[in-house]
Amino acid sequence: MLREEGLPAAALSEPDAFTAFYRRFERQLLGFFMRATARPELAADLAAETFARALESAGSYDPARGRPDQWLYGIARNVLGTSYRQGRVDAGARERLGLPALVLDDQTLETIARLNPHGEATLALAELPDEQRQAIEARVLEEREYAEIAKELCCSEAVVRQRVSRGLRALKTRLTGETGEHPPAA
Amino acid sequence: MSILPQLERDLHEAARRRLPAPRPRRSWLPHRGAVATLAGVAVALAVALIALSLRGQQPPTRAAAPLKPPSYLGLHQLLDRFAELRRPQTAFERRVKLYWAPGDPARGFIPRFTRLATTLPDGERVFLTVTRVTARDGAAGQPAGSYMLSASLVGVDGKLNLLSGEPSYNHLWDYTQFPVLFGPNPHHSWVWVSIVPDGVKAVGWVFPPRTYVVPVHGNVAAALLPGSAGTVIRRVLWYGAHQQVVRRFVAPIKYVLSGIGIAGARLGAAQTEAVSQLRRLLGKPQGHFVPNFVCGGADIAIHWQDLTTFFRRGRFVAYSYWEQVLPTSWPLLATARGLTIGETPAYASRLYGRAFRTSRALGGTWSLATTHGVLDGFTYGAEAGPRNTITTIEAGPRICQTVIPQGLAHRP
Repeated sequence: MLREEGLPAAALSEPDAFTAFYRRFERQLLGFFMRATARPELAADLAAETFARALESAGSYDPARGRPDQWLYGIARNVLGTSYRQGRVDAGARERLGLPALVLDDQTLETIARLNPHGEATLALAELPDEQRQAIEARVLEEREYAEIAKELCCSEAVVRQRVSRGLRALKTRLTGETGEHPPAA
Repeated sequence: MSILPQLERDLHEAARRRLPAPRPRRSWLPHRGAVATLAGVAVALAVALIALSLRGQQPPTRAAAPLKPPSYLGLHQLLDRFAELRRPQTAFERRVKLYWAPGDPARGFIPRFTRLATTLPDGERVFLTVTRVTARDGAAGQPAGSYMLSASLVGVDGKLNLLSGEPSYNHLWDYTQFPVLFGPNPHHSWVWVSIVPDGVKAVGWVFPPRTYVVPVHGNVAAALLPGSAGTVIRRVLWYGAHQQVVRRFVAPIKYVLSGIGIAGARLGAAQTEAVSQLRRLLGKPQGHFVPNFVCGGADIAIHWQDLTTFFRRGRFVAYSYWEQVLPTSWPLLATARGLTIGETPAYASRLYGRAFRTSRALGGTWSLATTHGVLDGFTYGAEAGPRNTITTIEAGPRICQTVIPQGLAHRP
């Protein structure tokens, strides 16, 4: 059995080796793109282009420079970067290889979406007012101290706490539909 | 069971289609004696030039004809400037077919101008080709009807090396100043190639702290420089017939990147103000604002070459400086202490000490907490290996937080 490092090079002479490589990293790469885009159809498209580029350049993989996943992530980041620049998913490698467009059914999209269970939260966070989003990112995602955040945002700690609290409440409302308010007493 | 079985099948089929690679014809293989001679001559010339340059460079005589953007070269101008195109085509060059994909000749490619410019010591060959830009290629930056001179690298297996970002040289890159990186080839070497006009006999490529002097053959300077991928070229020297420096190009470096913005363009500033500051610093952006299609398209982005800037609700919120596809006359961007893409994490640690951290997350990331905010980015290469390099420098709260290393690398 081939070691992981041997898969990219082996793909040049053995299609099954590339299939093994694909299976090894498919979930990982789809997860990466789900975290990047929060949209399963985009994640699938980006992953397809990344694997197509990997197939095209399988001979370039150099184990001395890093692991196969690092090499693949490098390609993935380039695909993401190119797509950033173009404002659409690049399809150059797939066109050169003659790959048909992906057909994605609802079940597949759900499976991909589950790879990033926080996708909806990411989108909801983006919709918050800037001051609430900044406070949540700094406190919850970056786990920084209130005092440090307050200094950076030029406000008091109490204001930061308030922004985090309001932001989290707004997120909860958007994600669950709950208002967080108690029902009126009968 | 894979999630996308259709993609798995399509890729398998594509891998199978790529299998029947034609065996290289004997005529493609370099003669061992010729290779040894060529390598010997190259080394001797390089040593001689380095020695001369160490003794002090003579003042420039006549500068080689500059090719200034945005001029577009006609065919006659190309012939005037490049002797390699003026010489008769050999029978071998007539037979060579440089296709981007089997059965898909490049549009506008003019076979009668294909020239084998030079052969590298490992047998790889550098061809010069001329392409007439068609209407469909206009987006590459040149109008339809103009001409491009390009360098193509062909491996010993006869296959075109497609691994450089933009192997064509056109007015966007001032044609010849900085070399293009191809590779790596199957031997894991990186090839740098530069087209130079008549009168240039050698070039000096300065990758601090090293300088490589490369002789010119057939209007092409090409060299195998193992381990050079990701490094940043800082200066290029052109040497004339008498080893004098006839042109000198310096990659301008702007020490402007920080966790709170890019020079005067502060994160959080109004879009018009930030763009105005960035235009003053970097010139006109490439293209127009495009919706950042990721994360629901909430951001818009605009690009200055390898710099992507993000705006949200009319505010400058983040930027990402990516690994350069081509070294060009475009300024390199760096932090105040000199950290830029292509440097190693070890170098970054020397600059910033323990504030600089790396992580294996997402295939390799780094982050740097400074008094002027947090910078982060991706790395490429073996963990803590000497050839590990910084591939992006980023800052600002991007919507897709989870794909950004910020916040990851600082966690224990």
